[in-house]
Amino acid sequence: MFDSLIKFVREAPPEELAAIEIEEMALVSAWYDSHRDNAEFVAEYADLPEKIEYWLAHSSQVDVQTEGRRLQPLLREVLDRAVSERPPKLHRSELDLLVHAHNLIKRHPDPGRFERLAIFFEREHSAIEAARDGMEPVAGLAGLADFLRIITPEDILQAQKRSVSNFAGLKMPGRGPVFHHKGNVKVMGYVPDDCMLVAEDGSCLVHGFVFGRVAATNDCEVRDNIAGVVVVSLGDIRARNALTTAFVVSKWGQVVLRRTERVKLLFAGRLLHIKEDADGGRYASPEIVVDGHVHGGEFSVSRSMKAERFETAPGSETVIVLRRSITPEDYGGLVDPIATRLLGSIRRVRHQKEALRERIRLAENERRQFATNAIQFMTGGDALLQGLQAIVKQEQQLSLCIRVISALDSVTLAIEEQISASIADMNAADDEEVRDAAALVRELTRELEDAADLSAMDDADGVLAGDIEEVAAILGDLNRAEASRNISTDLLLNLRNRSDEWQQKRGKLIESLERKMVAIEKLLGTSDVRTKNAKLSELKVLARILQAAGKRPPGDVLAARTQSSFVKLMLRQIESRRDRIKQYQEKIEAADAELAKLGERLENEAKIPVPKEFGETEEPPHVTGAFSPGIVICTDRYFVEDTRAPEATTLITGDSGTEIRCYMRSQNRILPRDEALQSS
Amino acid sequence: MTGRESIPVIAIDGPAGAGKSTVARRVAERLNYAFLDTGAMYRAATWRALNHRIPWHDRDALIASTRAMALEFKDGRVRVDGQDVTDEIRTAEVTRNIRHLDGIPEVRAQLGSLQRRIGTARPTVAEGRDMGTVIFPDAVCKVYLDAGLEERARRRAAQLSEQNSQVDVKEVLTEIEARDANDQTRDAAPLRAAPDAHRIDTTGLSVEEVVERIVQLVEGTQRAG
Repeated sequence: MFDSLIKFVREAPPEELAAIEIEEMALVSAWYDSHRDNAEFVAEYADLPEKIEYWLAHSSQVDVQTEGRRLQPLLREVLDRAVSERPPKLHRSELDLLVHAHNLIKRHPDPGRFERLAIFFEREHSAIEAARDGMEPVAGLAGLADFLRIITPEDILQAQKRSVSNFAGLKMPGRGPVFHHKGNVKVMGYVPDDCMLVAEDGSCLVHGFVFGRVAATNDCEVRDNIAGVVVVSLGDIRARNALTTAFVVSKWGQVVLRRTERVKLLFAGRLLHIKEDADGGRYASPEIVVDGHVHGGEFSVSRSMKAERFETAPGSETVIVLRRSITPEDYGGLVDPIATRLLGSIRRVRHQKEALRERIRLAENERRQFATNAIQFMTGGDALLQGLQAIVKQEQQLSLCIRVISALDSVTLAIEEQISASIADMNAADDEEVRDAAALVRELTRELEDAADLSAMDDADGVLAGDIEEVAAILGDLNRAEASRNISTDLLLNLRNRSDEWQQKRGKLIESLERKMVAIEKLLGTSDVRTKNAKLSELKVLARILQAAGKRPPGDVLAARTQSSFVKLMLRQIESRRDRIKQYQEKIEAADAELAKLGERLENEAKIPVPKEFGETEEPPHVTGAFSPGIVICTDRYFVEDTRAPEATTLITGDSGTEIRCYMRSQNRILPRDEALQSS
Repeated sequence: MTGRESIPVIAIDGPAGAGKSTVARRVAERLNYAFLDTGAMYRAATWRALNHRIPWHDRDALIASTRAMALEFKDGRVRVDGQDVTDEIRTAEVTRNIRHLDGIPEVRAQLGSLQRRIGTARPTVAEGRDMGTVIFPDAVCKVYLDAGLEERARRRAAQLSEQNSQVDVKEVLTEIEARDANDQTRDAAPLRAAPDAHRIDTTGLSVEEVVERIVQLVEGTQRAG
């Protein structure tokens, strides 16, 4: 059962023998000891005690710097059960393993290396030995091999040759020896070129390099470097480095490495963590952390990316793509139709939540603005009325503008994704996202009602009426496209152009508003009550003023101003926004309930853990670090060289020196973080 | 010990695809040495011959072309007769045709003399095929980098893919095998490790790991010296 391990220990060159783990040596020692009543056996394997002594004398000199350190699953499993089960229900072979591990630690020149084991044995060694002595010995450590199969590169090379068209759910044809095992597998050495190793329903531990291909359901730990293919379905991948031509995919977990060099692809369904530098290659994960520097490469994230510094490399630019989602398509995954539909629905509902949160932020902002306007009027009186009315109208215009831009961006994003899906697969396009986004534009009719209320106040120049007409025209285009099922690139370009026009309008409105507000502030001078109550929100200040006004005698100026049509209008708008916020919050709760159901179905029907991505955090996708000049940050890789790409979809950094900067995706634009948060 | 004084040159030799250029450049950066890319010199000479459409059988013309070549290395860029050819000299076409020049003793002598002049001007890391055996036999530290054939083919294929060339790994492997055979069997300065070279198998190692090993070797040599 441990034939390959025994053969390896007997034949390994000294430096490889010194580098093996205590688990292997404890197995060898326990295995040899289990045959001690067999004189013939003892004679045949007489060299094993010598090997154990060599390991004891030299293993402390070996210090392998790697992330792929968790190479002792058997010892860990037995130890976990010994600690958690009371009394421990370990069988004789497991107790033998523990006893021999303890003996090795006692004799080891550097016992501090085995801290967890040492602490355990300090407490439990008497109980373990007593339990063991009360059981019949079992030759050959029967039972342990069920948990872990130990093999060598020769075992893999001698496996049956097969031709495969898919590997671990990826379209990856190949031909060569395929070693398939149900359970955990440990390789005492490397995985050779052109070979495939599959650990079904288990983890794979590799003591050396991976040159060939490895697939595991759970985790994969590689002590040396990956130059071939490693794919795990549910667990994590940890190794020293990933090199040129490495293709590393953890479909739903983490990938943790020291360094990377021009990797073919590194994908992590949850988090990619590189402890030193990343030098070139392609990477995709919702979240990427590089503790060192980035020198070239293409990085796609949907939550965040962080590095100490981003630099370009000779012949290799650094491109960071801030995306709405990272999907199995990024690694060429073949996800089954049920999972694809469920993942699509989860993404859609998350985008809905994102849109709802944005609308809550807008509505809260508007409430504060209306409160400010009311406070300014009550403080400054009729002298400010005309100016304030102009401000309110422009604020409403700006608010409408922001909503239109947001709705247009949502629609264009949804249309882009639908077009991309139908290019990839004519039958796969799902127009649910487009319908959801179109519904956002339709909800603008509610905004129009509020705008009508405000335009009744004063719209002599017809500006608001003009905006209302434009929004109606956008709605008309969308309705016609949907009715004729003609969601096409022409519509996309039309909507993008309109979005750009509204962006320009927004910019001008902001400038104009700033000028008007400065004028009002000048008139108010030191009498602005807000500056006297700087720690309170505008709404609280307004509430206090209204309360104070209510106690004033009839005819009092402040009391009269609270009854003015202007203040009443502001209060109505504040109430309306509060009601709307409450409705949005109810919709978010409904979305959360739907997400919980979808997540349950995904785990039960498709056996896939629910992916975490944007929508679960407050911040849109962003990248943080110090930047050298020329780092490209974009919403889509193909916009970088496209002269027709929408404005601000690509940003090229300047030199930030040692200063840490953050750039964020705001809808379909890349902006510095502060600007991005302000624009929403 | 030859009785001759060591020169401050680190000689890095090895077959095609062993990672010599990348490693040598990084070692030079780490140690603040100059970097001598002799492979680029042969590539430049080959590119010039292709550019001037010199037939490969015309030995005299090839020798004359190499002698006439104005070769310049600056800021990591390679210039031939005033033209920046840094990317052009790394194409598959140049790679395929280097063998027509690097087997001509007169060409090797011309470029070798240039290499010696450059290499002894200041502490230098020199990479090529015969640095430790012919050009700098008294180098203070000699390294021979090697890697398995499949590993070298994989690296070379990845390099070509980055240059947007269509790549067939099997073709690359055949090409590397052919280059190995040519390098090892030519009369003029065949590829082999100097007897006093440190051999490093780079199979599966990252560039940083190889660089670290060489730097430690150099520092060890300096301490012993």
